[in-house]
Amino acid sequence: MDLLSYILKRVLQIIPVFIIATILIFFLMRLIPGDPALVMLGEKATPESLALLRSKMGLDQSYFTQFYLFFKNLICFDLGTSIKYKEPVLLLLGDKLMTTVWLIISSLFFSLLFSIIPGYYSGIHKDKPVDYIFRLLSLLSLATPAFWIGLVLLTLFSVQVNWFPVSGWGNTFEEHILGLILPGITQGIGVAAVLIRNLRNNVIDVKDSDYVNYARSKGLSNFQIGIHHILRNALIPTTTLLSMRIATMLSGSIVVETVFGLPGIGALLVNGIYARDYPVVQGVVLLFVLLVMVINLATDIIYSFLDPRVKLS
Amino acid sequence: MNTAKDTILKVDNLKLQFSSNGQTLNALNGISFSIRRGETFGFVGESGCGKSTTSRAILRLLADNAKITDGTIYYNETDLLKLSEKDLRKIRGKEIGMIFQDPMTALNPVLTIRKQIFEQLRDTKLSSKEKEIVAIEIMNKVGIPLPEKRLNEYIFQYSGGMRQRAMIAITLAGNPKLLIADEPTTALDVTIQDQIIKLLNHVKEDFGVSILLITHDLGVVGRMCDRVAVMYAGYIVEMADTYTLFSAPRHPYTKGLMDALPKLPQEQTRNEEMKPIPGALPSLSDLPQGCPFVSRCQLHQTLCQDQLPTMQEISPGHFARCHYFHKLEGCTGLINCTKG
Repeated sequence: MDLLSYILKRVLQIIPVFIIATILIFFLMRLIPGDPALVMLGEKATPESLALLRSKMGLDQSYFTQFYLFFKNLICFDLGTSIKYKEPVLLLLGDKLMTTVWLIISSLFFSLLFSIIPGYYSGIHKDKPVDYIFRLLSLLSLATPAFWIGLVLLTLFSVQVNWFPVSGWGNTFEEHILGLILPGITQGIGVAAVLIRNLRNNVIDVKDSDYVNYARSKGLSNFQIGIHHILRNALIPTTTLLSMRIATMLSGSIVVETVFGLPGIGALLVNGIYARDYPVVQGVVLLFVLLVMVINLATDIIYSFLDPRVKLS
Repeated sequence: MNTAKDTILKVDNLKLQFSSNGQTLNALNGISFSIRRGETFGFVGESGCGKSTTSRAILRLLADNAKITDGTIYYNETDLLKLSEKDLRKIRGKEIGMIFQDPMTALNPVLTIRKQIFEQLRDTKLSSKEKEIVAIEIMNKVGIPLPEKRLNEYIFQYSGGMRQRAMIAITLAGNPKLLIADEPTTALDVTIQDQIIKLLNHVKEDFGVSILLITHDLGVVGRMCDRVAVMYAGYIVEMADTYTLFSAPRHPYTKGLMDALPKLPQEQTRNEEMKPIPGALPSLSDLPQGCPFVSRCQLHQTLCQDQLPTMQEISPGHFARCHYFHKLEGCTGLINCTKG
C-alpha cells in the first residue's frame, strides 16, 4: 500500500513536468529553420501549391493556435499524422518502440557483463597488474566513440566472418537476437567503462569495512563474502549510475540504430528531423521524456529494495 | 603453561610487523599468553598498543600489509598459523567467534539479521524452519524481545543496546568455544554498557565459552576478567589474575594506568589525585633498545635504556616486565574492585 501510494504520487508529479516538456519541444521545433511543405514537394514546387499544403497542414496558423490544436490532440493520445510516412505518429512509435527497448535491454546486458567482474576484481586487487589492465581498458573504451566501435565490430564480425547481419534485425525472434548482439556490445562497452570505474571505487570502500571483516571472522568463503557482503553493497551506488546511463542509452540509440540499420525510434527521430516531420519529432522526443521519467521512478523503487535504509517518501 | 587439557588458546612469542610507506612497524614483539577453558582473559592498554592486532592475528584477519614473522598460536592442539586459509575458515566462526566494537558498522547494513544468523548455520543440515527456531532461541537467550519480528529487521532498525545483542546473537549462532570480544562496550553509553557486561558474563556460563576481552577500560576488566594482560607498545608488560593486578600492580605502566583513573570527589584523599602518564607511546618503527616504557617511567635507570627486561614471575601466576618491579612492592592499585 505504501509502495502504491508512492507510485501514484510520483506519477502525478510526472504530469506537470511532461506539460513543460511539451511546450519546450513544440516551440523549439519551430525554431529549426526549414519548411516541411518545401521538403515534401521539393525545390521545384510552385508558391501556390506550397501555400495550399501549408494551410492543409495547419502551418499557416499562428504558433499558439497550432500549439493549442497539438495539445488538445495530445490529451486524446493523438500525436498527429507523420508528414513523411502519412501514418499516425502513435502507430509509428508503437511500431518502433519495441526495437529500441530490446536494444536497451541488450546494451544493459552487455554493459553489466563487461563491468561487474572487471570492476570487482579491479577493486579487490587495487594497484595490482589486473587493476591497471582493467583501468586502461575502461579508459580506452571511454575515449572511443560508439559509432567507431560499431563500425569496427560490423567490419570484423558481419563483413569478414559473417556471424551477424550487417544491417537490420530480420523478421524472426532468432534473427532479432542475432541482430541485437553487436549493437548491444557497441553501447555496452561505453557504459561498462563508466560502471567499472564506479564499481571499482565502491568495492575499495567496502572491502576493508568492518562488516566484511566480521563476515570473514564468521568463516564465510571468499565467494560468499564477495557476493553477499562486498558486491551487494558496492552495487547500490552503481545502480543509480546505471539508471542515469539508461537515459543516455536512449540518445545513444540514435547513433547505434543508424549504424546498424535498426528500425527503432532513434532512427525514426533522425529521419523525422531530416524531413522536418514535426509530428514525428515531437512524438519521439515526448516519448523519450516519458521513458526517462518512468526509468527514474523505477530506479527509486529498485533502490529502496536494494538499500533498506532508504525510505520511499 | 603447556597445551594441557584446560588450555583453549596458547599464544607463544607472537611477532607481527606492518609495513607502510617503506617503514616497518613492530606491532607485536613476542606476545605469549594462554587462555584457560571457561575463563575470561582481558587485554588492556592504550590505543595502538597491539591488543586489537593480537586478537585479529589469532584468526588471521589482518590487513594486507601485516606479516606475522614469528611465533605459534595453538587452539587446542592445532597451530592456527600453520593452517591453510581454507582450514582456518573452519575455525573462524565455529570454534572462535568475534564481537566487534560497533555493531552498526560490523553488521551488513543491507542484510536482515535473519540472513546474518543463517550464514552461521550454513553448514548445518537444518531446514530453514529449523534454522529459524535456532535463531529465535539464541535471540531469546541474549535478551532481544519479539525475536520472531526482529529477525526480519535490519541492524539500523535496532536501538543501541539491541544492536550489540544482535551481533552477540549472530556470533553465538556459530556455536564458538572461544569468543574474542574487541571493545564490545566502547561504543555504548554507560547504562547499556552495564547490560552488555552482564550479558557477556551470563553468556559465558550459558554457552560455556571462554572469552578474550580487548578493552581499554579497567572498570570493564574488573567486572569481567579472571586474568588480565597489560599491553604496551607491542609487549605484554604485566600479567596476573585480576585481583592481584588490581591490588598489587608491579609494573610502573599498570600503576600509572590506575593512577590515571578519575575518582569521585568523595573517594579522593589528599594524596590521591588523578595523575596522567606523561609523554606518549614510542614510535613502533623505532622502538628503544631497552624497555619500551623507559621515556615515560619514573623509576627508570641506565639499565632500562640498555636492556629490555624479561617477563619475570613475581609470585605464582603474576608476571611483570620490569627491572625494578620490587620498587613497587607495597604499592596498591584499585583495591576495592568488585567482581562480576
